[in-house]
Amino acid sequence: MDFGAVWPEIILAGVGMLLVLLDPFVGAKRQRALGYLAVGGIVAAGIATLFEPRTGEVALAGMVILDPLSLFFRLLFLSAALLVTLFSFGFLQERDQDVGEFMALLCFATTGAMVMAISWDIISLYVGLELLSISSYILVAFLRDERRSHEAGLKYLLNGALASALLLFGLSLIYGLTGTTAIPVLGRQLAAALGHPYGGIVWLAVGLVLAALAFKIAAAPFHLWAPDAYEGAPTPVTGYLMVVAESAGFAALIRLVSTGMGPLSTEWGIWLAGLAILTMTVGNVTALWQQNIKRMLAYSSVAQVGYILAGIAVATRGGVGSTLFYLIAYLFSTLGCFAVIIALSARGHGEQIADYAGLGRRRPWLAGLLTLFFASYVGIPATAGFMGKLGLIGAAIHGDMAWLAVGIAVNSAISIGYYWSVARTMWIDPVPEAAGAIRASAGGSISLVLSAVGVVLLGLVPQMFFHLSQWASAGVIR
Amino acid sequence: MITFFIVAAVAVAAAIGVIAARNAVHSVLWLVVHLCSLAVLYMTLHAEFLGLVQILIYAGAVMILFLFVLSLLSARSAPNAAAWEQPRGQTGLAIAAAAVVAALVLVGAAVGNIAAPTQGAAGGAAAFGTVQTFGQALFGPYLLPFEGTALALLTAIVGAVALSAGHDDAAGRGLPATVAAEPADGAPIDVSHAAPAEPVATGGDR
Repeated sequence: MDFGAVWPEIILAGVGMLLVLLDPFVGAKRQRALGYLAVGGIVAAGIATLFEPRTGEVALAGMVILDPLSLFFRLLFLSAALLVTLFSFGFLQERDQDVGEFMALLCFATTGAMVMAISWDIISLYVGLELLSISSYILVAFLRDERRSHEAGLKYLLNGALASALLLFGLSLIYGLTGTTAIPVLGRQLAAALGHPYGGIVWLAVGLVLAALAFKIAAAPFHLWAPDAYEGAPTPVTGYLMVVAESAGFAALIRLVSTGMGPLSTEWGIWLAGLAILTMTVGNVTALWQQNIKRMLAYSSVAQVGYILAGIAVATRGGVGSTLFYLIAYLFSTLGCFAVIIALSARGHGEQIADYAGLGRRRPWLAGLLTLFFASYVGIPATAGFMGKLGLIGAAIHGDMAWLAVGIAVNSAISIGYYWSVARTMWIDPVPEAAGAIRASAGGSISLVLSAVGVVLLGLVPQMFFHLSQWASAGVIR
Repeated sequence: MITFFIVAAVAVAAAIGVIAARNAVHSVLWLVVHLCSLAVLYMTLHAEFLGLVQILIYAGAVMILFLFVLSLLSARSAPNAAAWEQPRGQTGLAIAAAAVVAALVLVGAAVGNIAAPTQGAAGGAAAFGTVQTFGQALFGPYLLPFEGTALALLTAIVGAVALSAGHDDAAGRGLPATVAAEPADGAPIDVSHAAPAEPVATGGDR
């Protein structure tokens, strides 16, 4: 057995288990050590990923593939996990929560996401998804003393279990139709099955898989769980789910649908394009009415998912490439936003948008960075989001779906409305009288700076990242 | 073939029983019937070892645990059938959807004559289903999913501990009132407290 193929996953899972093991023996004063251990594990897994010499090789009896896409998603998930670990430490200490268990669950969830992304077989893909999902349910409900967190966890669990059941049903139909679980041969067999009298089942299976993955990435109309779960979850977990869980859903979409069901792309392309338009419109329009900043960002993330789906819907290599680029941009903008929100909520600052009044005068740096991340969400030039949207619009036009490009442009215009209302509150509204001091934790400041650098770098010198995402998407469309 | 249809009918009927039963203990008992009929199905497919394991672990150990948990919980609060919210219109929709799927599969199977999937990694027919081939498949081609599942189960255990046990100062807080409402000095349990937890605020944009 060639375990070398999954060293990054083994390291990360091992560090997770070590955290669980050490947790009871580490006193309240030494909790910081557990945080350092988690950071060390994530960095070690990243180094193991970078020093993986093989590309394009199938390993572990066809269960995983080590192609550029695997490398891309492994690094994406590990970077996100690193940023989340950095800003969640202060958050947990503030609330007297158990650092060891939280970090362990974060490691397990990231391992699951990585297994999903490197899967070359539907069985390993499903197992990775379950590992990610189970860890996420617990992370959402992690705040023991907050009823809201429990409610969010239960909602996420019920909806996630339904999505898993749908996916499993669809995958079992696919196995019944094709007699194989290997992703590279699925598509041809499914296309062959289409010619038989029972061909209708193929669409049932494809529809079930698409619906289940739409649940996981919170695409409309399967997004109804997202605002509640994202609002109630501990704030670092909300950021983690928006970036890692949703990107893992996109990894599964690319593996299973773009590659696995490639021969049927004309049909699912239209379905996904419709889903993309619906998702971005619903997300943007609903976000306009939100008062709570986490809830607003939840709907904004639904809208972002719509943009990203457009890249997969066109079913071209360029489309997948711009999807990958947008995922990097989305990572930095989202985690940057959450680093700011956590820095503010640390001193009892509220989560309502009204609580942000006068922030521009009290903490100009924090307000400025939040505005930068919002600008990236909207797609203002010289930010990451602008280059990302440019790529998606270009891919949509090249893929003969110009109406999708129009949808992205119109929706970006709508989204200015709710980002502007927060910016106006921060910069123009007066400072409330009972405003306390705000201080970001050291880890939070590091992740804030890293996110800001990422957003600006992607906006100003995007070439390197463009090449990376195009290289990673090379083998996807067969 | 006849065995298959009888057992399959029992399995479907028991599955309906699981969701239709009002009493949670009855649901568990229906689930035992369902899992046993699945075990019979495995055996008719010549996967004898899997069938036995299914009975030993699922129908046996896991269901016992289910009953333990249920009796621990319902010792404090009687199952309140009246408060059970009856889904409106969903039953009909669910039956219709299930009928459409069943019709698709049955018609497809009848008309299209779906061939049984060729044997995958499990190997030759003679040794299929024995402990040896089962173990070799588990620790050979399916090692990664096997270990991944083990990790997922570990995560679930860690989560159960993290969410339910833990801090003494937070004991019961955030849990439903039924679990938290333990009389400290042997006083009789107040019935109004022992009622199911107040409905947690649901959905919608608050």
